[in-house]
Amino acid sequence: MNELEELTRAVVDCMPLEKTKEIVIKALKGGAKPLEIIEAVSKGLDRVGEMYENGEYFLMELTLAGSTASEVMSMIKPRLKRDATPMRGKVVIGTVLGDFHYIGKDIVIAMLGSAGFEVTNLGVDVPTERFIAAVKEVKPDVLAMSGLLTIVVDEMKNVVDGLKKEGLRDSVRVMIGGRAVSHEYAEQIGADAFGANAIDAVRLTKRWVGGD
Amino acid sequence: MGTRRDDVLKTMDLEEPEHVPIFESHIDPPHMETLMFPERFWSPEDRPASERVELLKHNAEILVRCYDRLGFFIVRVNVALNPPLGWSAKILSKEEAGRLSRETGLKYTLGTFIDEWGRGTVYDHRCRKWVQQYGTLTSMDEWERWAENFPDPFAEGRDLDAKIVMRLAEERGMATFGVLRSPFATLFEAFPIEIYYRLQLEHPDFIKRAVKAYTDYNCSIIRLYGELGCDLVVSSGDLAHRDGPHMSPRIFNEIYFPEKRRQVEAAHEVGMKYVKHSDGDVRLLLDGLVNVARVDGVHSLDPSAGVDIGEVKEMYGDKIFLMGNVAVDSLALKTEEEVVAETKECIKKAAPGGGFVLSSSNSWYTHCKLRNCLAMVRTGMENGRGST
Repeated sequence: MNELEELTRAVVDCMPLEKTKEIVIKALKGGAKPLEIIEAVSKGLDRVGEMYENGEYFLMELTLAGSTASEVMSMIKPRLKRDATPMRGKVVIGTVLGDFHYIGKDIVIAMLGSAGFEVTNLGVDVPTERFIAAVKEVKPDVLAMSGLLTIVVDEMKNVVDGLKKEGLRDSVRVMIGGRAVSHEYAEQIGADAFGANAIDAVRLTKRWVGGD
Repeated sequence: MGTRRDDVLKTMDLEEPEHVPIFESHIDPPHMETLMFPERFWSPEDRPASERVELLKHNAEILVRCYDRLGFFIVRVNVALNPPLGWSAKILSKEEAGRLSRETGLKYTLGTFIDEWGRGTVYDHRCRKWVQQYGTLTSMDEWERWAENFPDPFAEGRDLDAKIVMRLAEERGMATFGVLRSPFATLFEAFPIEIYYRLQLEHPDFIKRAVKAYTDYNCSIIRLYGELGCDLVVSSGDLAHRDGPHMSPRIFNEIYFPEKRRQVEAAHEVGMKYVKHSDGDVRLLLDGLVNVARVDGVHSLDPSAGVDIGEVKEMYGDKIFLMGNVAVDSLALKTEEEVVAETKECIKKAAPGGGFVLSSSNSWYTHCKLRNCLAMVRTGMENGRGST
């Protein structure tokens, strides 16, 4: 097994972070390109996603695979910049105002990152104005909003309405996700889609932006 | 005609009561105040810390009278999560919040309140309650240091309001449930969740030891509830999310449910029943809850996560009683007519033969429409009598 295969296995098996980092360093020293590293991690995440959807893996494995992917991405980010590696598209993401939940959002970020998207994470408890400002500034292909509490679903509507008011709605695809929302709700508030989970969110983004 | 408590006791013995019991595990203060107008439910901002005893006593009275006015059959008693007298919370300084944010990538803020269990909480002014933010322990060593002063179940002051609730409930013929927090939830809430998951995967022996410590605490609290005269305990804390369990059922069956069984046995020793609450899709965990942990009842059965109370009744109705499951999302988002129809459906599926308590799939929180909540109760009152 070469280092890249080892890296894929490390993501799938949720190996300890330090061990995974050692594999990345070894791979880079052995001449692997940053994009090859991303590809190896992405393969691992795809496998974890399949296992999650098949019921072999649970939230724990999905979260850990996501956090491993994030760590690897931060390790190779400077090299990506240096090599001016083109990214697949841009995504702005955040948990809406009044909600501090982050797990689902962070898994989506990790998976999008390793799928080659440039992701701007606005964090949690994000007010409407900040979403709008980020859309203006970053000009993303996709705006993704997450919310676990029913109490915050109105906030998602506020953001969509805000985009319309600012004349930005047609410039960006809007995806919503989280326990509190649904396909019906996405339709109701004028979002483009509901991502049922992280795997679904990545699938949708790839379809919209990546040409998959 | 028996009391409401009699109906609850029959239900918990899987017999058919005169009337299907109705209850909520929690109602947010804004709703409680609307129901009890002009009386006010005191918030921490209404009274200085030095008047905590008065605040607890006042709120205990309002709680029981509100539940009584609603016609609920069971009222909540909290000893487990009440801090003792003289305990003062640690509030994160700007520097500490900054350090934690850097280490974990999460949003800790100046003023995050760290509770007795190491959990970061923030005060939600809209719902007027403390809500969990993130855990504040970031390693096994930090947990070990925290555990050197592990919370004492017998510390003075935890039961300050419990006796008031018990007396008022008894006068009204209502049953009482003692609140517990499940060791699984208490542990994973003490850490940022990724760190907790890593510990679970890489240090299962540490997790086992920690779970045992939380279970010991809960067993002592269960005995206190027994001495107070409670009828059941409800262990809060979610084991699942919308897609399914947090972790493999195998891990729950090997690590968490044997310790839960110790709590169930402690409850039985003092004549109480034990109920596990969880939101989310718990279907893969029900077998372990029934056969490994041997709980007496399950609460919530979250329909928004796909749990069908009729199916659960068919599979486990001869072993456990069911509490649920009008979707809290319906209470927040649907019409009164839709809530009435959902409540009738819930009763139709789960009430025949007994062993069923009607409630929402979580609680009445601020964003639920109160008229929907009351429609659920009214429908329960009208349709829950006799053989259903």
